[in-house]
Amino acid sequence: MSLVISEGQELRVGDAFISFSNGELLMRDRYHEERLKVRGHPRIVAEPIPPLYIPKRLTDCLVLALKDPLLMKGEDVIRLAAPYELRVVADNVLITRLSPFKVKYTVIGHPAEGEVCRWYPTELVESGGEAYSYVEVVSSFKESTRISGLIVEDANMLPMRSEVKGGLFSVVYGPASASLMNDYLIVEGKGALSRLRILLKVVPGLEFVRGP
Amino acid sequence: MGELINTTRTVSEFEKMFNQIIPYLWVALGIVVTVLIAVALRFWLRRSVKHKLPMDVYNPLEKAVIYTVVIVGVIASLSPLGISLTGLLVAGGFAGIIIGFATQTVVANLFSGLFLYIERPFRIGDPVKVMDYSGIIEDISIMSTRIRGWDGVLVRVPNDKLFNSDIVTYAKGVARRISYEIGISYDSDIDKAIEALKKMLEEHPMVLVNPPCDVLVKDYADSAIVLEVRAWAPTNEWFNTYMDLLKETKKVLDKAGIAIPYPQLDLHVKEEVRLRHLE
Repeated sequence: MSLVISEGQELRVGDAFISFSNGELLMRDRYHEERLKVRGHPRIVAEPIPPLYIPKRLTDCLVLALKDPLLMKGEDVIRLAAPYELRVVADNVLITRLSPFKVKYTVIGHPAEGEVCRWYPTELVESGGEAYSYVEVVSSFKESTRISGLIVEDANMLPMRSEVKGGLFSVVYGPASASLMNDYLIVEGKGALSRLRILLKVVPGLEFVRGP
Repeated sequence: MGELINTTRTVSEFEKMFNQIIPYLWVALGIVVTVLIAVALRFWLRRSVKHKLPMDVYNPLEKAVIYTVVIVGVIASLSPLGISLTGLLVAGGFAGIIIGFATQTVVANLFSGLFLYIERPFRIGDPVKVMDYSGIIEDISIMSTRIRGWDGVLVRVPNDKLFNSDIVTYAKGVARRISYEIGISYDSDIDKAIEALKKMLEEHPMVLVNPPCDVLVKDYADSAIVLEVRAWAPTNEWFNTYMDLLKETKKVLDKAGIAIPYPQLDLHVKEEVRLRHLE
């Protein structure tokens, strides 16, 4: 499933803005702006991707840091807000990537030998939130456990499947497990994140069509 | 009888010739054995040691070992010809002393290069500052090291100078701190200036969340209140982030109505000054 942008339409998600009018494609976020004159009739599509490319590809690691730590016990399901980026593609050719969010990085560990990670201040989100992407954590802690956030070692995963449900465009990533270290849940390995869902609110006037 | 004498002489000449050839055969055998040992040793080194060491360390090590074995083996093989290994070593020692004096700098470079290989203060591709040169390490050889300066100029630094110098390696670590000072006028609101600068740091994507950044009052100088901006950036983005912040600092202070003063001097005159009208 893809989000197609036709002549005369605009898409605004957070800081990301795409406009296609009078044969000109304007793509903008808080870090850059691009204009393209469009000839012919290319099929222009915006797709959600993992948040690793804007403004530069520095790391595959993603940290979701809770503003207020969380105490969990027993079987529980929480959803943490997660960032994403948009990839703009014309007839399967990548044009640009845009970030709907402000980008920050952090170092996990010591500055001498730690790891640079994309950093996002997360919070708990309710189900069915609009224009949200989130990570769903299913826990079964026997004792009360303090959770300060989530570290995804390799967030560069391709969507496993996508769907339109209740007016939201949803991308679901493959199953995995996480371990606990220093209050942080650590998810390691490619394709390891458990149920990362990227949900975009449908903008009126835009249509969903089945992708190539 | 004559035939018997001729036959005996022929055998005797053959024995003499054989005795003359034998030492050369021993020499040839010794050299062949030396070469076989060298080949076997190289095979063993490549199989057992090569994967444990970086290529720029392994290659000179292999050459040094193989050449030493071949030279010692060949000299030892020459002993059947009456060429003494001891004599050669003594002669070689004297020659070494003379050559050593004559090529003192070369030898110093060579050993400094070996020590650099062992200590490894930097690697190819590391950004460094050595003596007056600063740039990327492009090549490390046994005699010298080549540094590609930020202006693109290639500098060859002899290893002995390099080894005895202070070496600043910027690439050791994933993050590097940016630190600079900025003066604001005494009429300015310090809290407002600090807030504006902190917001600037927070907005820049490459200023790291952890380690945390900070803006603090460093000094009350003659002409300005000196603020210090401290922030960390990924090592590869350090320079660009530093330049961005320097540029943005002026803009955000201007926007917040904070003045960056020129150096100024107040002159107080105790006695009355009479001005004479000049015609």
